[in-house]
Amino acid sequence: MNLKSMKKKANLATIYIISVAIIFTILIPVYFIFSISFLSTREAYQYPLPLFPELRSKIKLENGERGVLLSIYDKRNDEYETLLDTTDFKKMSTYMRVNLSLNYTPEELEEKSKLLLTQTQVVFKAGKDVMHNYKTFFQVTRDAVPALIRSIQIAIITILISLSIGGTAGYTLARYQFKGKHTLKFSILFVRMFPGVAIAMPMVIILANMGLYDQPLGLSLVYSIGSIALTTWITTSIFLGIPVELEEAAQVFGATKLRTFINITLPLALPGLAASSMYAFLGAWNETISALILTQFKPTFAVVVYQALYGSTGQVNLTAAGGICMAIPTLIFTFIIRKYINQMWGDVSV
Amino acid sequence: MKRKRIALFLVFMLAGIGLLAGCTPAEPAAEEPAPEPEVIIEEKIVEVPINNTLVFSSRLWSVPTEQEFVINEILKPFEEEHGVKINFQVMDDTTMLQRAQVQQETDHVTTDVIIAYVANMPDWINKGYVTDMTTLIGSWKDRHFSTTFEANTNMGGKQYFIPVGADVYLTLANKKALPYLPAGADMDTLTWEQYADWAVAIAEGEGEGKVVVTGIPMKSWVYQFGAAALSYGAGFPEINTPEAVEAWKIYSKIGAADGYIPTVLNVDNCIDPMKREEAWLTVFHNARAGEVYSSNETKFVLAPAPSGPAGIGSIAGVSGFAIMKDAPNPELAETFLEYITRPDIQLKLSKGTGGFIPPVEEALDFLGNEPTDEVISKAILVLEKGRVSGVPGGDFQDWGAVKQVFDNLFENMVLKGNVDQAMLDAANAEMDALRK
Repeated sequence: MNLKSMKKKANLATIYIISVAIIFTILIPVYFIFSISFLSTREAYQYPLPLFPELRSKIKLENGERGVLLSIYDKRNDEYETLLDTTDFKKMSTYMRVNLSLNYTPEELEEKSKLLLTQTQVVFKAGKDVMHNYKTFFQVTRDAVPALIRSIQIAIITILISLSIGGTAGYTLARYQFKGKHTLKFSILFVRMFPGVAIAMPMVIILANMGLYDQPLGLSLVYSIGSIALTTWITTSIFLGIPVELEEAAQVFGATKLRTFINITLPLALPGLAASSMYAFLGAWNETISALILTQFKPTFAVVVYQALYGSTGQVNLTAAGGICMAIPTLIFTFIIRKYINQMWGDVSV
Repeated sequence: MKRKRIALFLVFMLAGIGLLAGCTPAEPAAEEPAPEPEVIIEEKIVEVPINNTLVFSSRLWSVPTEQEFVINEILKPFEEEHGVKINFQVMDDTTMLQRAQVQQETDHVTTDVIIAYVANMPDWINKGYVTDMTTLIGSWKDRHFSTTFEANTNMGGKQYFIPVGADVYLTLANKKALPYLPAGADMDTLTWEQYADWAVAIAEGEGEGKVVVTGIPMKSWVYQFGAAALSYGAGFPEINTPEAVEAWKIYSKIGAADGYIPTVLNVDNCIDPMKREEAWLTVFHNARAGEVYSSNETKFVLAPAPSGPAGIGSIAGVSGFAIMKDAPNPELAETFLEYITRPDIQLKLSKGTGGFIPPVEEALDFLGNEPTDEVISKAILVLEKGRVSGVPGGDFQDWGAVKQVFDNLFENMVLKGNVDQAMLDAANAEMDALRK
């Protein structure tokens, strides 16, 4: 094997190692969040956190000081950990559901505990409800599904407003020369320089006066303000990258300006528009502060998640379940437009 | 030339849209009659029939399991009994107040009932966002509310808030800490000196501190310290008086022995380290102590907060129900408040949400022998017999800045295990500068 070949293999190996490291860096946190979302509350408070959620738990019932003593088998310490000592089977049932993600009715537990009249302990294996956190999340929120649909509507309207206004402005700034163009181009970003919280209240009052309080369109308008500026900037660069000669050539062959734009310019600008859409989508999807104030009966999904998880400090399992619910639509949207985003990374191909 | 014109037109369009989005529309002329379209707006806003939906916003019961309990066990029976729907929303105090501001300023009030924190009650009352409930409360003959919080719930002889979910300090210990309890000490009658000795003994025995306080700035350290200071006869908040110095000595003694958990400066609430068993000992809010306790009643022990020469000191917090001014369903809101403040419902609510103290005197008649009842009983003992102070946030320009003064002392003095009078005097001057 010659030196050149060895060097080539070493380079290849280095690239693979770096690639795998990058993939792990990205995927491991995602895996953790995903895995944590299936943990029971008891598991979520173990240290270190389990890498994999338990699917079955070994439960022991025995006579306690107050009533029936409930214990769970702890694999780490190879012993049973006592949890609850009570005569109230409704309380025991609720405890098992909330803390252990195990669904047993009070009657079932009472039935099992009757065996303690003839034996010292009752041991049984219980299948864990791995979806418990998700169920809790949707039970607490109640309006989660309509809110999810509403958030998608708001995001779509925001994208449409941003693309139609920001895209038009971007095309103008890219194709036309006029006095003060650069100042104007720069000043468009001014709107993004104000902290969202600082301008949230005035915007909310204006919209409420316009009758857009608790309306998806009102929120879309609020979100569009920021994303129009960004869309203008992104699309300006994209349109600048498309040679004007292509448009001129199309017009030489008889195409109208509109047809040239639709058939020549727009397809080439799609990656940039897709990227702008993604920014607009993410901005509208994740925003909570304005939505909290501006909605009452029609909350967005972000508001619903916030309200459900606002007090879940430390309950990482529930927070993770809410996070996954929030992330899924974003992942779907990114998956849909991935082709265009990839094209943008490789610059505009003509 | 034509291109330039088009360009300018498009750019001006953009600028116009930006301006329209950023400017407040002109106020309607004073002489203008009430415009009819507003009625249409009102109809647009609320799709659900107003009379069948009560909007209830709360800063309380934010823990998801508590929300679940409140929705299923408290609100659902009311909904079924009255054939109405309750739109229950949990949010922080600031957002709730901002939302109220929007609704009041735009005459689009959609919220009926709120629960605000005691420190924010003056804001709600002074801004005129809540209604006077003196007559309503006076008409309920079967219940009497604790008078401890009247200074906050009432103003100018009128009652605007009904207290709910009161909170004082309790000692919470993991049973693993019990072998280190000083000889002759009883958890139910523990003194602060014994508490410090206990913490030191644990640190020496385990080779690592096991006491937890909220070390992250702007959290509860000021209150945790305040409880000890009140026990020694100090007022709240006091920093450099001889009584307060005694309290600093207690916490610094623990600091000198490395008695705090190593991650104490990253702790924003004591629940997590206690549940994870990273910490074994703390003195904090009874409802949150109750939350930890009920996560495994066989693992933890609860007792009243330690006492000092002046008794058991505690900072008492409370929240309050109020009806929003111009609420769309005032009668339904009153019916709901009558229901939710019934003594039996108050106790059920308290027991299902960690162990807040029900501030309805008659609710205590329903107390039983369950561990959650024990949490409430011990908290009541502190509230009734202790030296209790509220949070005088309204006396300062920025209560957060006051908290920061105490946080700095914790980090720079307590954790280093000393009590420096010069540092305390400087901190006191800093706090005084924040007074209104």
